[in-house]
Amino acid sequence: MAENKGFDLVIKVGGEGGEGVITAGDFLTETAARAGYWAVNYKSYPAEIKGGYAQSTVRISDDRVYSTGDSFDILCAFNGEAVEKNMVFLKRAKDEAKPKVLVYDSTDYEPAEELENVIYYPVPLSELAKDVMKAYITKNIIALGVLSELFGIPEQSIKDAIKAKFMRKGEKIVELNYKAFDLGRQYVRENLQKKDPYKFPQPRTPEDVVIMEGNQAVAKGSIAAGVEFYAAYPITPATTVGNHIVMDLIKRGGWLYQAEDEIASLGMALGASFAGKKSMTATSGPGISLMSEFISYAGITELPIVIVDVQRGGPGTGMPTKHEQADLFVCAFGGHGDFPRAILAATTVEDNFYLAVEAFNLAEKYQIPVFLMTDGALAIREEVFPTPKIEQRPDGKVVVKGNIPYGVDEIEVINRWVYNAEEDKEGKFRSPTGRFLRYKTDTPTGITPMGIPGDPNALHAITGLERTENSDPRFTPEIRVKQMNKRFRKLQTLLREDADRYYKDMRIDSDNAEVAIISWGLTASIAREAAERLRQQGYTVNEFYPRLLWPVKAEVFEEFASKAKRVIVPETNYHGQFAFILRATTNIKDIISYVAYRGEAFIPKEIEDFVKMAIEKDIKKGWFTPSDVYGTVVGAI
Amino acid sequence: MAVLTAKDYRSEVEPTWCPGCGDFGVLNATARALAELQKDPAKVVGVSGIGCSSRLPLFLKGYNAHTLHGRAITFAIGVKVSRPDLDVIVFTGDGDMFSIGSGHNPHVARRNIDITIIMMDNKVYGLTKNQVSPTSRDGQPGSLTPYGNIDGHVNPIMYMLTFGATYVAQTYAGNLKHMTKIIKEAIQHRGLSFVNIISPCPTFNKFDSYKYYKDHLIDINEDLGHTQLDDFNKAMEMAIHWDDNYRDPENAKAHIGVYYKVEKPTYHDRVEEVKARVGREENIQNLIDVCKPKAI
Repeated sequence: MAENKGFDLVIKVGGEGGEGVITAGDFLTETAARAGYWAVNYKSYPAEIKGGYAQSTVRISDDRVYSTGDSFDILCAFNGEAVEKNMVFLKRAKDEAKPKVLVYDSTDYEPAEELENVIYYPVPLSELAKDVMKAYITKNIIALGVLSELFGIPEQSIKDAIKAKFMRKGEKIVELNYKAFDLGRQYVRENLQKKDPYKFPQPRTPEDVVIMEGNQAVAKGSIAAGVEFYAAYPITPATTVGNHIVMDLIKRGGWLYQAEDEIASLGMALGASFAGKKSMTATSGPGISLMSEFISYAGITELPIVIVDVQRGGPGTGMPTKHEQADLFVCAFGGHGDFPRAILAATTVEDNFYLAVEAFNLAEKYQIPVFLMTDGALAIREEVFPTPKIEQRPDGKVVVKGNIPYGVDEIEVINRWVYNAEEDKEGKFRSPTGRFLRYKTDTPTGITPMGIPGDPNALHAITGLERTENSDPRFTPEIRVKQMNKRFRKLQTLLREDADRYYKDMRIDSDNAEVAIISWGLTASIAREAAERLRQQGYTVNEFYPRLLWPVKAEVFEEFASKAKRVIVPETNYHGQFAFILRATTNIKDIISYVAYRGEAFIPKEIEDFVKMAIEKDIKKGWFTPSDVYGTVVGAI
Repeated sequence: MAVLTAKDYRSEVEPTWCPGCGDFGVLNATARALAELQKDPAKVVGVSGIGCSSRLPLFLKGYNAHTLHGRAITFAIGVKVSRPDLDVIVFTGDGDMFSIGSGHNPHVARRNIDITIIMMDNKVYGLTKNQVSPTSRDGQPGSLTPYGNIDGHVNPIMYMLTFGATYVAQTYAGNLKHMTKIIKEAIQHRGLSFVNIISPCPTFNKFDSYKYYKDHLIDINEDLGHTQLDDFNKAMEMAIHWDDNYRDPENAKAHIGVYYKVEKPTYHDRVEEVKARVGREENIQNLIDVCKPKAI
């Protein structure tokens, strides 16, 4: 795609909840896809059930994008509040090369002052909706018409998106919306003069893409992995994983059970796993805390289980709708005692899909609890990404292919090792009295076959107590040490056989780079952009975005760190939790923690500016926040 | 296939209970009931929580799960809903089910999930060495309440009836014949079966002994004329008298018998209905492709 190289535009729509702000953003995202472009859409809903400020930030580009950048190029404000909320960004325009554009509903609002390098387009959206269309509900479609005319957003692509959404409501509704769209375009032609440089390029051949939001991707990926049982208790922002999965799950012969609480959710999911089914639950921080006893139980009973943590602001009830990645400690260390587990963390919506499959694979292969960490911002973020391809082979094997973003070509769906008496003629997994040895301690990998209820050859009981090889509770020192070693041998096997798979998203610019960045979750997507900007300004930047956060293969991180003058780990939690873990599990001499904990993601500029400061002041270690860079309480936002 | 006897349902593991524990009787009766039903041991899943009574599944042959205190019902639901072909029996105790586990009771009962709950009621916490439980009597001593219980008590029968259980019965660990009959009925019943079994703890509860129950039991079906078993109101009226024997331990008697038995659609019946309505998708790719911009 050589033509239109370098197109990158951020449009933010803001206004009162209920006015179609989010829908407008969704339309822009779909329009981008239909026009052959890529998009990322970061939205936030009001905290209230009715009213309150909502926004949708859509970044459209001719190349893949993974963050919504520092702020918007174009703000379409449905009310005065939306302008006020974004004043800090509008005021920054004076220091930036490109102008900011403010398209605002001029029916009841006039900006108090004209800011430098901001271009104003007043449009009486409410008036047009109420008095001309006689349908206030079309306000957001009129706005889309305005944006289309002003910035050349392809008319046909938007109209196709409109038709796709409303066609099941009938021709009349589609026509009504077309009319609203055309009204917006007409208003611009008759009343405004274009004074800004932003222009959408010509449509290209559309790619084979899907548009999903984060929690939807988790759901779809889990379906691809073959999940059959899902139990959960509603909690913001994890509930929608269930919303997205329920009908798919039923169509695949499985079931979603709305449990009475999070403890029950995990108990049920573990029961289903014991019964032979791939199962999962999804929750947020408070739910993980509640589940800790069952997590510990899963660890000792070696039941495969996937636990999705859609993180929110903590601690306590915290900030349910705000972004934070502060559950790493509880996912890595929650649940009393020592037992093996794995943690995968998604950096994008696309990651959520493929890592869901990987999470089930790790759970099934190693018979451990696997946490899939995502967060509330990713949960509702939409991305346009290449359609994943699911190959269902005649022998029952399922292979997931696509543009897998962390460097593997395909993912073969793995199922647990189930005991087959036919394959065990020597009775390796049977005691002298014929009992099934579910927890035999001498396998080289530490993994032992599971018995599934119904199989007469593998009868056994499981217990949370320490036990012998045949699962009878007993805790002599020798039995205990052998069983603990068996369980942890599984983790050693994981590190040896599978960890590298999740460490491929690494870029080494130099063996003595100015800076090495290690990041995870949503922050990784933002750090990536900061790194690219730094690189274009001549800095040498090594980057590493591991998808596996636990266990830690120390030598990989140590080797990566050795190739730079300093290591910075940006993350959105107070402790710098991943840096903390790396300091504990590796020999890396110094790690700089750069953290934000204001309930919002970093913007790339904040990471970019901190790296420059760290290089300038030759910082090698310590704990820093954006306040240290800008002198403000909350950084550059 | 050879006929299985009660012995064939016992695992190799020897029970760890105190001599004279009522739970031995429950274990025997369960094995006999399974033998009378000729259940396939590979398809019987016993699930328990924590406590002396919760050790029971370890002594049964089958696929068993000794889980967490108060959480047996949740695990059992996961097993049964994902594998309706299995017989799932929960073995629990008065503390496990009505203290820590009580939050799960309304939900398993209102959904009429087809599992059997067998509660061994000894009115004490045995494994942790003598504390009062939700079914303890007034004035009963416990290590944390040495002055005698002042907490009142729950009425498990009335609670499970209210929550929607469709088979509710009580029996006694000292009556093998009655226990076996009730447990067999409970397993066969389609829907949520709750069986409370009075089970003496000779170590910590000296009051509720075999000696006491020798002449303090009454059969509500045989001796009190409670035979209209599908009548909820009558069942409740009988349940209200469940604890007469708490108010007047000397003269009033504890119950054995069936309070309620009614056939209603189970959770599984309703799940199947939903599945039939929703239909099936064989091709996973179709479920992904709905996320593509819709063709118009």
